[in-house]
Amino acid sequence: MTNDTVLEQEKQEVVEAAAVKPEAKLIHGTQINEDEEAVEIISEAAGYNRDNLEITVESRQLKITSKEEAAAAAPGRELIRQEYASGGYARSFRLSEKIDVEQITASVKDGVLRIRLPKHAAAQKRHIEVKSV
Amino acid sequence: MYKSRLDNIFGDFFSDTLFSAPWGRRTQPRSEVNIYHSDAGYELEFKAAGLQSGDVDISIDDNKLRVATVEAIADGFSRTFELPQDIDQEKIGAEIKDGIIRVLLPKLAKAEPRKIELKAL
Repeated sequence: MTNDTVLEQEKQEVVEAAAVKPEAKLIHGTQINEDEEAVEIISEAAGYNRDNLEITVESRQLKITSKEEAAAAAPGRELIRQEYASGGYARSFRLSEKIDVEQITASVKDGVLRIRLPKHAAAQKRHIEVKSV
Repeated sequence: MYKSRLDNIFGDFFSDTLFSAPWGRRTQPRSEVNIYHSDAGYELEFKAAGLQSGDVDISIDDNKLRVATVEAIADGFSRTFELPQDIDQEKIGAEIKDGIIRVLLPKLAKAEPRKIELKAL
């Protein structure tokens, strides 16, 4: 068996494992994924949408804050049992030099915030083809 | 399937397994809930980031309200609550928006106090 075949088999197994694993739809906390091109932050932001979240980047500091306090204190409504805090969203991440801050994009849907942080082309892993001479 | 646990809306919330069990050994999949009370009724707000209406199943049986994810959701949750007596079960409503499931439990309309006149005989 050549090395090529072993690599092909491994790749096949990885693809199959990914196909079997159900996509995590219900999001708890914050996950950070990284691939060759970008880092992705996936964060639970239940109750928030594009109107009440603000994302800024300054001095390689990514800040996510809620624009206003969540409307928990509606008049005449008393909180009688609390299992989670609902008083605003604030998180910040320090970005590595690898991240191209000009290319950052973000979206929020169904209370899940996704921020994509692409890497500078120079920081991306490159595959170099070895030529036979 | 996961085990369902019965919650009382007025239950002692510190006896809840979420707070008594060591974090690392939490096995009960669940969703955190905040409960509000007003003159009109109760509002239950569950955290369910990422879910849409088709992912959630809400039912009432034998005076118990069950809020659960459908089978297809990996690591989903199921929570059951004993309903207070003064709830109008016919009028219970629910919605999901921005990853929050909101269940509205209106109170039964109060009978107007009736004044009984004393007649002089």
